[in-house]
Amino acid sequence: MVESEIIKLLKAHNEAGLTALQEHYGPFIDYILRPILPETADREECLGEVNLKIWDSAPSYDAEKGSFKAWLGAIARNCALNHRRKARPAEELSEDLPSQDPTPEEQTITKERLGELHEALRRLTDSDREIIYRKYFYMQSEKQIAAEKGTTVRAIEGRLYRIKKRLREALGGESHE
Amino acid sequence: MSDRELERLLALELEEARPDSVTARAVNPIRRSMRLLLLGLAMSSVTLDILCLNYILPGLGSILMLLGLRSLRQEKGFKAAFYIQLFRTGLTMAANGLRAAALWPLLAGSMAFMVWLSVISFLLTTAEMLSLRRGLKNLASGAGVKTGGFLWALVIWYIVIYGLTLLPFPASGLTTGIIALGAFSLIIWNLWLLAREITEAGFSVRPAEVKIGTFTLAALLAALSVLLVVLGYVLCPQLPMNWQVREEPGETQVREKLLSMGFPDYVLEDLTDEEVLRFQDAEQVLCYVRSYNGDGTDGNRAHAADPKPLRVTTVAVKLPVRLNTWRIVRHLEYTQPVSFYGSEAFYIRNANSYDWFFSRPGDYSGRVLCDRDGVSYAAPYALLTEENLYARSSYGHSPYYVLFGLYSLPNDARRQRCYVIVEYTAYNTLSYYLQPWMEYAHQDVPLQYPVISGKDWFQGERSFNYSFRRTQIISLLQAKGDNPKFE
Repeated sequence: MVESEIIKLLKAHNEAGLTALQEHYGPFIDYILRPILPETADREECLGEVNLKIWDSAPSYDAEKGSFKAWLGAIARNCALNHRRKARPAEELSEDLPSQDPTPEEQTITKERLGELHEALRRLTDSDREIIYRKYFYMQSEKQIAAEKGTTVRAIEGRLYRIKKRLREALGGESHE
Repeated sequence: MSDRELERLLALELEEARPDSVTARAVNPIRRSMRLLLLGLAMSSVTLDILCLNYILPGLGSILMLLGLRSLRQEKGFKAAFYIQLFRTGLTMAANGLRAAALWPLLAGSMAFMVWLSVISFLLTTAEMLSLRRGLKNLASGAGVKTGGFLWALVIWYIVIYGLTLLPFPASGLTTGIIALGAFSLIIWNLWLLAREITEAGFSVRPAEVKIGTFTLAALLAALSVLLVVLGYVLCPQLPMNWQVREEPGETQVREKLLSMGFPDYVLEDLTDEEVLRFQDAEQVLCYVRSYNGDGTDGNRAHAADPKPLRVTTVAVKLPVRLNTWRIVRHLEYTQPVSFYGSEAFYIRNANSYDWFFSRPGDYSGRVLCDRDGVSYAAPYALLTEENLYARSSYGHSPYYVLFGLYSLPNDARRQRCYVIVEYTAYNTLSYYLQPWMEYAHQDVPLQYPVISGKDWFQGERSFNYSFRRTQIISLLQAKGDNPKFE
């Protein structure tokens, strides 16, 4: 079954679409989940959430905003992150500590910087942008990226270092902590 | 900005971002491997016989295939294909290195060597294509993709191509080439489509980890290939010759007789005792000496060397064995050093297809000699053999039964020389011409790829090869009545 047929079935909330989705994109969704949820049980649990999310969101899918696969990947990745957060809830903070919420001023600065970062990411080469997305969007390890790019872990680490350096420069300065 | 702050911003920026289509497509475990594999397969199978592309493309293709298979080697079928390809890449690199060695023409001319090479290559290629078919089929079935019959077509294509090379008649015509290329293009195109489907669905594959990056390994293998070619040139610039100190002449009686009949001493001293003894009943000795430039410029007065370095002495000895039987010695000697001695060759022809006066050359012998530090060295020819030479002439393509000599001369010696003795019999008893036509090919350009010998050059492999210079050596023995002489 071709992609357009699957999309059509899902948009129409036809269950055959979900079956076809599993058949054709099951390995892809598992590929996206695996780096975020290394445990098989977690992935199996999360898969149900992914299917539900796809089922609910399918009518709003807009092909002009990106490919179906990118859309699926984004849903799978977000579900996996949410699943991980739920599985590992943050430790309760002491009431004595000051609030962690950003101030309005900090929010404005962050917003400005995000705009600059967006522009800097756009200016990266396709290959560099792929590395950044693999690492910070799909949460892939350097080991996985290296194997899939046919290179060594050290080479990927070096490349990430150089890309981040360029991004920092684009955001106005160098500093290490 | 700190690293932590950048990572926080990246996490925020990418939180809701959907990767663009280029990035989404690129994030794939086997996309790169499949591309390398198919590109390598196409490059290593289609050859273009210009600018050495028929060696460069398969060499690069072989490396690309190896790199593609390296990442897939953990998958069923691909493991065997990877190790076979590793062996084939080594074989291709070694063969490309050997092609730069002066030894190559002898290997290429050896039927046994070429048959073994073809058989090994055929078995390896077939085994690899079968493994590749199995690996791709496994990937395809794992990804829910139907393969069609193109994986078998690929295997069959290779078998047919090898089969064509084994046919007793030439099957490499233009029509065959176009059909083979068309079929292969069709197979590769369908494999490309299949690979794209597998790539889009093959997310369950885990590429193998590597210790050396693709680019680095490709560069290393390419450098190794170039190094092997350079080693071929450096370690084997000349044909292998078995040089031994020349034995002192033991026979004196016949030698003295021949000298008294006018046999040149510098030719006689190079002959073995066995050869000299075969002249013991000599009835007449005729001698003809002429010098040549040896570099193909003899017909051009402007380029005439002074003195001409290549002295050719033709000695005809009449024997009583049969009526009008002559044993003719051709002695070629460099009396002046020339810039480079590479692969030297000659051929001697007797009777033309339209000439019924003479028998084909009878028995023959000869060797190559040189002097170094006052000592004379001798070696058998690298090759001295009778073969047909298909030469273009005003009579069309006609085969000449000729005697080929192939040898190399050391660059650091003096008086580099060779001789060959051939027996002829004239059928006409009253009046005849004996014209043992000789052509000599001297290699004066060191670099050529692949290395061909002067013999190959004579046999027509001259395209894009300007390493050889031709000298036509003519001496006509005319016999009328009782007074034969050289003209």
